[in-house]
Amino acid sequence: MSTHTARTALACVATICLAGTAQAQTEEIVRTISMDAGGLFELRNVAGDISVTGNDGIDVTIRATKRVSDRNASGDADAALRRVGVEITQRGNRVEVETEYERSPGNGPSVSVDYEVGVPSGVRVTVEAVASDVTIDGVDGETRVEVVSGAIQLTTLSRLVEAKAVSGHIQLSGVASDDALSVESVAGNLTLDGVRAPRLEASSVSGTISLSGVEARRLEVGTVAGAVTYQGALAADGRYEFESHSGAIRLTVPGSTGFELEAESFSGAFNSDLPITVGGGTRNTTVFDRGLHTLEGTAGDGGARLELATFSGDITIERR
Amino acid sequence: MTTNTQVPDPECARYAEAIDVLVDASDDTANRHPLTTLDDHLAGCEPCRRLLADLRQIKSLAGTLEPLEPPTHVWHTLSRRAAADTGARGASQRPWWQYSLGGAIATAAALLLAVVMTPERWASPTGPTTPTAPRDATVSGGQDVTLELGLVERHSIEALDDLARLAAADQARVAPVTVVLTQHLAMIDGAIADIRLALATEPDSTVARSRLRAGLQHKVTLLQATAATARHLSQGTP
Repeated sequence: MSTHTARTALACVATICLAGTAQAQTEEIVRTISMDAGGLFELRNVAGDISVTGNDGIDVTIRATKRVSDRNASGDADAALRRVGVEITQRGNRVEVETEYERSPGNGPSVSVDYEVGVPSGVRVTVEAVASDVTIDGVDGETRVEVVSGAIQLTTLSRLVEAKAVSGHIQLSGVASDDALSVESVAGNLTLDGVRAPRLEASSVSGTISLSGVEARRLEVGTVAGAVTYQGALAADGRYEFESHSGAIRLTVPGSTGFELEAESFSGAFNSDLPITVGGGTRNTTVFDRGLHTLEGTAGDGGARLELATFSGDITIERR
Repeated sequence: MTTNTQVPDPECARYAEAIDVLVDASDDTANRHPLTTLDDHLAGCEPCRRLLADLRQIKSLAGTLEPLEPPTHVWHTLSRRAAADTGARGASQRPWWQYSLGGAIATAAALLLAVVMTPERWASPTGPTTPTAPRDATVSGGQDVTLELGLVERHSIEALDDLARLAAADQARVAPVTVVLTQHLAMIDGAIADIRLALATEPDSTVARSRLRAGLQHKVTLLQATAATARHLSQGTP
């Protein structure tokens, strides 16, 4: 395997500008690398925003902008920029980009690196970052994103595998997956619109989870304190699990939807616009029976399997 | 936080992997492992002896719990995390604290997972609101689960301690994440405390028991996120 490593100096443009009282200095690095479809592009960043866009070309284009911006720090901004490297490595059909920091002896100005990347749409993409907002659009290859702190926005992806954040909202639109798709944020909201995957897991601790136009035969949604909303159809052979501790669960489904229901809540209410047939088909209900906190029954033809559970949050099924 | 996280010791780092092998190995495997130098080190190193004892105790106690199948998504995530932890980089290249953190979290998560899967043990309504174990719940064989959960939670707090130490040592951006994880761990513990309170008034409530399982599963997931975050930050911080 041939290894080719190029440090930053291939194409650099350094500019200096002043904005108000804040010192701001940037250095730009531009690289273009040929890459076949099916290759792997990996980007690891510490701080700074990341944008990856799929295109019809055969080149990976990388524009990295190192940025010094610290109103309070003293020290040499040029030296601070020099302490941050952008390592670009190509091994066969794999390109790795990584931000590297040299340890500095004192508290100099902080440096972030913003990335604007274009990739052939068939390339697989992996992005890992500590403090970065990440947007990825128009990639057909397998895509994975993991961010500690920062928002993730993913649009028009054909093979998303996972999107994870500790502290940051995650927004998916027009995204598909061949297999299991996992979307997790500890403290952020999850907004999924037009997402298609055989199996989808979405979870948060405090964030709300909103799903609309989701096509998944196996769906698992869970939060502790966030609310959950789901708008769309249920596949007749699908299995859908929603659970929350204190957040409300609200489903809006077509009136013709059939499902086999299992609902439970310790202290939350249950209300359904669709009549739920219980007691071996002897009667219909739309709420928990008096004194009970569980409900098992069917709606319509009972096709899908629907499990809803909260501790104190209310559960609502609305007719669309 | 008040736990006494061990200070990284370069000498101990040389033996971290051997300790992990010693804990995980069957007796036969352990006998084949060249442990003479490890024995010598353990004889003179109290922190390593404590680590070995802790990990052995956790493994032993985990073995007493009923082997029930975890939900697929939980197991899937655990497996993936474990693979990532061991595959991403050589264990011998990891700093001591990171090795300790990863091993402790993985073991703690595995143990907690086993506990999560045994809901009948958690019928005790007497748990306090802080992250400590219920005092009168028992496992099969009559063992008090207080010790098991205490160990799990101690290690989870150690993970947060490690993150806090990273924050203090490296940069300000780590601190907010540590706060987020700490707050959300407290949020989950609060939810679990709510459920235990409910079980105090309705000890036979199947709904409360199933919600308790869910709450503990959320705690497992957050422990995993904590370990993954520590890994990210250790690799990425300048």
